[in-house]
Amino acid sequence: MADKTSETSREERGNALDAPMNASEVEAWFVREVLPLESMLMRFLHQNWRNKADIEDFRQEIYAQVLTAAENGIPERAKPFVLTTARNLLIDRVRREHVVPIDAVSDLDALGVAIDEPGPERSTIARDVLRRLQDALDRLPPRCREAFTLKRLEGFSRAEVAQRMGISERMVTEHMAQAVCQLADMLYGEPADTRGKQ
Amino acid sequence: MSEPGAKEINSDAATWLVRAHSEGWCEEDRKALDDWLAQSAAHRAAYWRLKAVYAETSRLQALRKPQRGGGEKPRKSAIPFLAATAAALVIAGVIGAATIDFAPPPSETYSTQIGGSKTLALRDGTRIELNTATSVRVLLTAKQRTVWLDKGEAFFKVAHDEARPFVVMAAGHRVTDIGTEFLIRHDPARLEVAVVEGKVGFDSSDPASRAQPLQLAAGDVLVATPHAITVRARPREDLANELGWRRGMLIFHHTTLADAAAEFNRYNSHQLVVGDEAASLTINGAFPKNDVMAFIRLTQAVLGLHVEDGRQRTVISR
Repeated sequence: MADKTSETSREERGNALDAPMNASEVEAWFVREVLPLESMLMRFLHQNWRNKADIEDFRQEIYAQVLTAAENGIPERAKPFVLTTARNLLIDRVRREHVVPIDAVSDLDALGVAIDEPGPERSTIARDVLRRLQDALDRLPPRCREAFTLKRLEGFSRAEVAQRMGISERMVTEHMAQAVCQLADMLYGEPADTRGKQ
Repeated sequence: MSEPGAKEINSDAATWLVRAHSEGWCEEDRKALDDWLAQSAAHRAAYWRLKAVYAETSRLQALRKPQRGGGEKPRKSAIPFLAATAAALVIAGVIGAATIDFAPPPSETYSTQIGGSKTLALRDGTRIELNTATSVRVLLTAKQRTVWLDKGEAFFKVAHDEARPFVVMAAGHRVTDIGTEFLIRHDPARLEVAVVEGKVGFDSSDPASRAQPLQLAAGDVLVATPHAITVRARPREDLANELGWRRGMLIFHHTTLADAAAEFNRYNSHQLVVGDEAASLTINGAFPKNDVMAFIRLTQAVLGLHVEDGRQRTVISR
């Protein structure tokens, strides 16, 4: 893709990739329309796939497919598009894995109904987001939370955080990275009403 | 399908993101990130997803970020600056606010040594409990009650009087009582305000500051550093732990050994030094704040750490 693009032309066009859609447009769409669907997507995957270890990979693959499509033209409605992608992915997996037990995919047919449901109310999500963020922060492992709080919220530099916590800068980066991953899973992946559980 | 697993991609994306928000990030790094993003849609999905949540967390910061004065400054230079200007800002603030008094009466100073504590009962019925190595100045006038927390930590139980606001000045910030109990801790590069009951107002005492005043409610803990101001709601037990010193105890809950030692060092002239490898061990428990030896014995017995006693200090290591 972009490896054909020379550095200068990439400079001129900002972050645009070699695709019809501008990358920042796709990113904005992805954050605005797709991420709010994550808790529903996760619920769907959990309901329809027995091996929980696969689910994170599925989510990743679904997002990759959704983005690849969006980079050639943003779908008009995100929710049916994401769910259809998910459904096709599961069907594909069932077909490919000969040893899949019969109940691995429980009710793919029922999905037709789910696709037509109205999307989650974005306003509710936004209103809730601060409370959910606070809750997610509280549930991080203590060292991750400490590194994240000092660096991101209190504005200390990585070197300063390392000094305060008595660890290397590399460890600060690791704690921060883990914190960000877990925050994303909690904020996007969990349904809005299960705060404080799990 | 996905050759490197989602976990690995996610973790790579997170590392890119954190590095991109840390010092030392350069043009070359940015290009390397662009290349990584261009490699696959899975990379972009993971990165954008984490970038979005990272952006969301700015909501956890309070409504403002104080001016940083020339980008990423090392804290070394920030501390003396803050400490030196705090007093000046405070005085400027008061003179500006109290134009009625051409020559305000001199304030009274109260302080404690390392390991000391003291309770002040003010004429208006307010009680102030001073923790270790703390210094306050108190000025009561007919129109206003002002306390400057020059250093250290104090717990305030304010007798409410609408006609005479109660104001605490610390590190260039102003905390205004709205009928309440609260705790303020003033360390060199950090100011913490914890509200136990009622409400307090918080704003800058610097008239040039464009920062918005905040109102804090019970359970809110505000932390102001030279870089930023954050507010978080904390469970009651956390606040109770923090106030353990009022009962002569230090209470630790998932506290790192380094932090616990720093806490003991506030109360004792015999200093604890924790070696790098032991610094991140975490401990729980309550200790008499002046009995550093009890703490040392515990780290020795329970954590199996090596303890080396010196005349002025004890080194704890693995």
